[in-house]
Amino acid sequence: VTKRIVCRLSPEEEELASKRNELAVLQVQLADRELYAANLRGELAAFEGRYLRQVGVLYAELDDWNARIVELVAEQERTEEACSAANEARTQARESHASAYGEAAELEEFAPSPELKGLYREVAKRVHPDLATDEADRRQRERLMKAANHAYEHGDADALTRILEEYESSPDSVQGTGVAADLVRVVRQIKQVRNRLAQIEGEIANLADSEIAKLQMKSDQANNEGRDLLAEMAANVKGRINVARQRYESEAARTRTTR
Amino acid sequence: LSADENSALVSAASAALARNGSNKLTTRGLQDVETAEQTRSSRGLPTTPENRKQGYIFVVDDDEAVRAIICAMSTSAGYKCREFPGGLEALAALESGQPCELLLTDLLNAPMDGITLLERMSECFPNIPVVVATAVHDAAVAKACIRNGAFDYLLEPFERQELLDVIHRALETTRLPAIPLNNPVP
Repeated sequence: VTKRIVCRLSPEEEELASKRNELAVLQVQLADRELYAANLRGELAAFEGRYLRQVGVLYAELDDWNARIVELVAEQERTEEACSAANEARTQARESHASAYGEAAELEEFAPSPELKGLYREVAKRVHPDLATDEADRRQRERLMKAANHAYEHGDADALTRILEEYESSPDSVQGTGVAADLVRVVRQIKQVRNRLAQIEGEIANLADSEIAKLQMKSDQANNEGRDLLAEMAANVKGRINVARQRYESEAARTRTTR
Repeated sequence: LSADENSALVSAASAALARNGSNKLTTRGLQDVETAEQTRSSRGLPTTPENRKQGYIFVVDDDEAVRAIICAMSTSAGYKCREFPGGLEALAALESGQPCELLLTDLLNAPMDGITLLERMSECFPNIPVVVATAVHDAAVAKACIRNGAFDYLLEPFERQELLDVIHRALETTRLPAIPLNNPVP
């Protein structure tokens, strides 16, 4: 008679194994959706950068001319209303300048390579904050994920690799032992990941409904008709700049002659 | 500038500030474009793609989340969508006369799979292009879809632009003089 060793799993162990499988599937889904959302964000951010460089800077210039005109008026009239209008116009011109030449205008283009996409997906799958098992773990994951989002948006593969390495080399958080404790942890992770999956859909819908997305949609539509919307907008604002500049110059000349 | 012109300028500047609030340059650009479009349409000039917004895209997928995202992507490009959890529901809507310009389906499972849906579409609605989206990376599956009358084939996960390109191609082709595109290849 040959003796056979049969390894039987307890019901808890079976449940744990099945929950772990469920979590593994969800992790893949989560990574896919995070990648999708990151691509949408990156695409919109790149379009915004293009828009700011091509059209935003012209709005800033227009606002500067308008502020100069209102300042001239305020100098002459010296009324409280005119002075506060001049202050407001100058504030707006400064804000427009800051937006048009700010960080958002820097992103040149967003064209992640398949390798970069793969790296980001891997980070999202392993490092995602919703896989955290305690507060300290969550904080570390949130920090790394934030850095990963930034690196992905800027096409920085080295930074993504470093984030993965840092995560892998960090000490495991202290965990309770035993099947029951493991089971509780996995069930909690599953719940967190499911919540996040639902949340991402909302974020994606918000992105798709944002103003920059609407502008991009109009630009795409124009493109399909063989038009360049940003160039049209730039031409329009340039025309308004010319009008404002002429107005400023004639006003300035009049001021000089009356003095 | 006269005193009146000056005060008009001053109040126009304040009004512009009040309207723009925190002055997001994006908000402003979008407003300007929309105003220009309204002006054009009030003058009877064509605005953007005329017939593009007429029909609906039927999105068939048993996963609610997948349907939602496809619809979000298509809606953001100006298309209108209707969602259906299965092929039977989509066919019922078509039979009741709901307008549909394009049907986008997953390779569904029971009770009606994607291939059966394709066959029914070729029989009953040969002028509506069908695009099949699936995560199955298998040339045989792709071939089966095309053989059964699919206009095109989309591999998941796909990017927004890939989806929009396929939709655009399908609509553009079928809006040309009616050619029964979906006739099965012998």
